[in-house]
Amino acid sequence: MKFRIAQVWILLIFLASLLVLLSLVAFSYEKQAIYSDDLRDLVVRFLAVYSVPLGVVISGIFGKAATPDRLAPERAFWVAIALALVWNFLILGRTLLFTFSANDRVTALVEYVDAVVGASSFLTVAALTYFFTTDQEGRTP
Amino acid sequence: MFCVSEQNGSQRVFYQNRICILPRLFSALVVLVTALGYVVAPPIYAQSTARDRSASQQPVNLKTVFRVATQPKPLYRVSYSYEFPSQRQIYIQGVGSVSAKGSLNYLCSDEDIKFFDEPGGKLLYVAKLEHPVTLMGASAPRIPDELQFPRESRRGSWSGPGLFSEKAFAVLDKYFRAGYRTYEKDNSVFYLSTYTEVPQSDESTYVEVSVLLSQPIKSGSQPLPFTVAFTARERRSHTDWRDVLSEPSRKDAETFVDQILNALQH
Repeated sequence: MKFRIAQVWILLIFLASLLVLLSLVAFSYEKQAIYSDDLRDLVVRFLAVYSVPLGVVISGIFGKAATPDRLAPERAFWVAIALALVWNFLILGRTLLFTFSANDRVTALVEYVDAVVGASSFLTVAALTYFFTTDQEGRTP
Repeated sequence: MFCVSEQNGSQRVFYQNRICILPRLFSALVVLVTALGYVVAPPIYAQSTARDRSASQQPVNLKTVFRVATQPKPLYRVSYSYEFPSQRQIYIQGVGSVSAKGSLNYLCSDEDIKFFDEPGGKLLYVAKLEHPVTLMGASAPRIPDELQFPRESRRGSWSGPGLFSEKAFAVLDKYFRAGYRTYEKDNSVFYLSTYTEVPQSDESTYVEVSVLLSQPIKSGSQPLPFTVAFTARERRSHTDWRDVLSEPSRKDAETFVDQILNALQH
């Protein structure tokens, strides 16, 4: 797989997950399960949470100009994809439960995001950094 | 039963005789202890019966005392019945004037319940709230602080045939199933209710109301004036309670409090 395509795939995973999360929060507000200030707080919270991995991905895309023919390191790519999926599923799963449960609390969701995601974000950041700094033969600078 | 062996001489016979007597002695001891048990038991029974009888003759019978909260100060849920045959009505400190016979169930923070013949009158009886039962795992009643209530209140008057306290207890028991706290301060008696859910016009919003009733301890004339203040809070299905009310919720709460005021006056 071309390196640029691999970069786009990783970016898409994070962007799609973030968009689904924001849609779920908007849906909760639309069905009057939360107040407008809860909507604002949750949107800001999710943007803050995603700013770290998205920052790594975007800086990886624009910071290091790859040649069009450069191939992605296969092992690093699949590790990055797997960890990105797990990390996003941790947030997305809990937010889905929050949205479709009859009774939940914004405070409980925020506590979960802070605790679980905060503790696991280093995995994603490490995997992404490794992927974006590894060359085709698997060598890191 | 033969216990004597002729083969082993007289000493042997004597020894074996002693061995055979031991089980008999033991049996006799068991019979004696059992008999003593029967002899001793009746006085114990008589004693407890006498204690029960003396308890039933007391004017106040504390049924249950539960400690339901410890912070910021202890809160007890008390349930008792009382009867003062020589009185027409009595005054219970922190509760108000009530009939001379009845039963009550409410929340209070006092360590004892004092019964007087009238407000500021002769002390009739003191019931100490000793050895309260603490319910493990039970949540504390949802009761607001007095400071959360606004200064503004609805005013009502009671000119009914009975005592206002008893009417208030009947209304509070009907609308606030989790109970109410009673106390007195500044020559007034207060009844501070727990939160109760208000019938809502908006399905997505939940509204809870608590009321603070007050009446003067001494009232010389009829009708008896009283006040009703209320505090309310609302939440949506996925949020915590908040004290700031939306306009529909405020209207729901006010309608509910008007209903209570109306019930108190009739």
